[in-house]
Amino acid sequence: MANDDRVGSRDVEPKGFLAKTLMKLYVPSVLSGMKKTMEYMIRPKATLQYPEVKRVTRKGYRGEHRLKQDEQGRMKCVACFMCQTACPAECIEITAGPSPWPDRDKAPVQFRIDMMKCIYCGMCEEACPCDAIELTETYTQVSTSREEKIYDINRLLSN
Amino acid sequence: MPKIKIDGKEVEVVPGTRVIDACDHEGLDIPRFCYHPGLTPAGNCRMCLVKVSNSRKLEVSCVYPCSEGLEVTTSGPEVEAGRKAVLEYMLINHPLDCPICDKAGECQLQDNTAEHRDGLTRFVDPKVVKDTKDLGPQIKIWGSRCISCTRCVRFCEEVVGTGELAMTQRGDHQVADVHPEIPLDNPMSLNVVDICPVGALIDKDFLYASRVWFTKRTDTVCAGCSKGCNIVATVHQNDIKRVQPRENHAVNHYWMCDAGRQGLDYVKGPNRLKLHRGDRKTLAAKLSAIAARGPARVGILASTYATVEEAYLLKQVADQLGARVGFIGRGGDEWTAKNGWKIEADKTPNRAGVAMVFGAVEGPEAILAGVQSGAIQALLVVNGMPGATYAPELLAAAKKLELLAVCDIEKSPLSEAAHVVIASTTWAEKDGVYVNSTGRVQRIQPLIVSQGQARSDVATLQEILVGLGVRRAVLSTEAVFTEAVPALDYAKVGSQGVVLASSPEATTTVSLGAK
Repeated sequence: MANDDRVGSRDVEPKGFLAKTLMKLYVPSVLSGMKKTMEYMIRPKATLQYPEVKRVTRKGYRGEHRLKQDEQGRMKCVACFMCQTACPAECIEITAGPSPWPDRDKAPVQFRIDMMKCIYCGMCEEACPCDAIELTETYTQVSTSREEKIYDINRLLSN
Repeated sequence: MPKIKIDGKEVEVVPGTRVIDACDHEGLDIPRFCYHPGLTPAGNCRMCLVKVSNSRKLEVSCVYPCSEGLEVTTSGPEVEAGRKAVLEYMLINHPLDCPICDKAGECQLQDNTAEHRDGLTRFVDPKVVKDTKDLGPQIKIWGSRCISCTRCVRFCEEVVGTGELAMTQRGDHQVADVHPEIPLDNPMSLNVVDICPVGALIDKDFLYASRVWFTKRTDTVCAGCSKGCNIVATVHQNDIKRVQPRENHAVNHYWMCDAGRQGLDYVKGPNRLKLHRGDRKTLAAKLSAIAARGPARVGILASTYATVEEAYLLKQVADQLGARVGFIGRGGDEWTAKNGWKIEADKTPNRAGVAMVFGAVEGPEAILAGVQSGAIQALLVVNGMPGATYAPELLAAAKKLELLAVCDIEKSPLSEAAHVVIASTTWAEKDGVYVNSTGRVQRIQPLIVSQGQARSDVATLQEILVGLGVRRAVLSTEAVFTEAVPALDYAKVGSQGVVLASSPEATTTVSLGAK
């Protein structure tokens, strides 16, 4: 059988009766397998007992969006549509209107992000000239309907 | 004819031509703010600087006349430095609020700054802030964005002749403004928004409506009156956000009236007819059965909003059923601007086109009389006119009709009373051809997807004709047009339209198709 690429095949044939017999009984293979098993038994475990235990995200992790507010609790967004323009997934939909505050002209009336379309690239955050949108480290997104996955302005402000 | 040299290329120009026009003709891009081909040149923005052989300094090409042997240089370090310096002055007090400015994306200041400047500023002093306020019922001004090009002022003075706007204050504080008691509300006022090279003048209807780079632009023709202004509609998410004039020197030059821009809400209005009702498959059979009882048993009521194609098919239906066709229209006030730009009194777009097909446009009186006397037993209404009102006598008499079929765009008492209702497409949703008051054949195009079940009258009428055995299949609108006017097709009509004859009366002699 010229199937030398198979795992466990040896280029060098074992010499001697004992070596040949042990080889035929798979003893070296079984032993190397056992070694691996033992190694994994004493290693620290990768599995977390989610949801009781949650993974701590690294700094800069890109999770759910948040619309930021200033010190007076007013949303920073001025509805310039730069995030919507930059978004490669076309998941942002803004409706603009006149601002209720005198220091700016424009504010969003509605700000929707379709979380199922979003690819969490962070381009919206990059594009924002007002530092009004950011990606938080929240990655747990559970919902039971598609409608829930479309976050509106209130959801994004309270994120 | 003086000969000049532009960037080394010899060009022969008409005497009195300005350098900027000669450059435009050569396809060279000269940056400008205050110059507009429809207005007298002012030469106040200084952006269109070029080097000319007659002068040691840079000259403003929009007011510099071409003279024999003139050598013009439109690029090079000297010209670039001049333009860059002009822009720097303009940007001293400009707020640079492009992210929240509605003009962003189609702003000449933004475009020129991107092209001629490096994005850096040397000014550290606070900017002069000017008022943001209403100039009229439709127009708002962001004073800080104004670059004092005076295009709007010149438009109101030279084109409209009302002169509401003027430049007020001096120096840094100069801004276009109106007298406190005289609002900017002339019938063409919204053109100042289009010609404003920056975002200073804004149409309140379009304010915050959409960013221009998301929108789709479609060329069409205004249906507001029989002038047939060439327009371009800005559409976003199947919604007409605004319409703007399109250059056509045979019709509307660079302008359109405010009435044409407004009142498009009916397309998606609450009164829109969106669902069919009744059995439209047996309509043709019922109509022909009633027509067979005697002459003029079937009446057809249409409007001069019908396209040439619809009129042609209506004539086929009428000829087959021996029916009379009455057309409802709509009149209004004629208005003429100072420079002779006219808004027509006939507020329907295609009276000339209907006349071209039918020979003469009959009013609805004969149909009304026929329905009242009981001579007309079946009435087919094909109306594409928004806000059409039917005479109360007709509504009362319609109860006597054996068959009332209504193809309409809006709900009306007549559609409520009808046996068969077919929702039809409006001007904004259909293809077709209008003939304007000067006999220019121009094409309209669908701007948005039709509402609800609405279908084109061209399809509905062809279906009836198939049922009557006159036609064999339902063809495209273009095929029907070429059948109606064999000399033309949509490609020949093009974006600027064609004239079949010099006057609407003469166009009636154009040979029509076989049927």
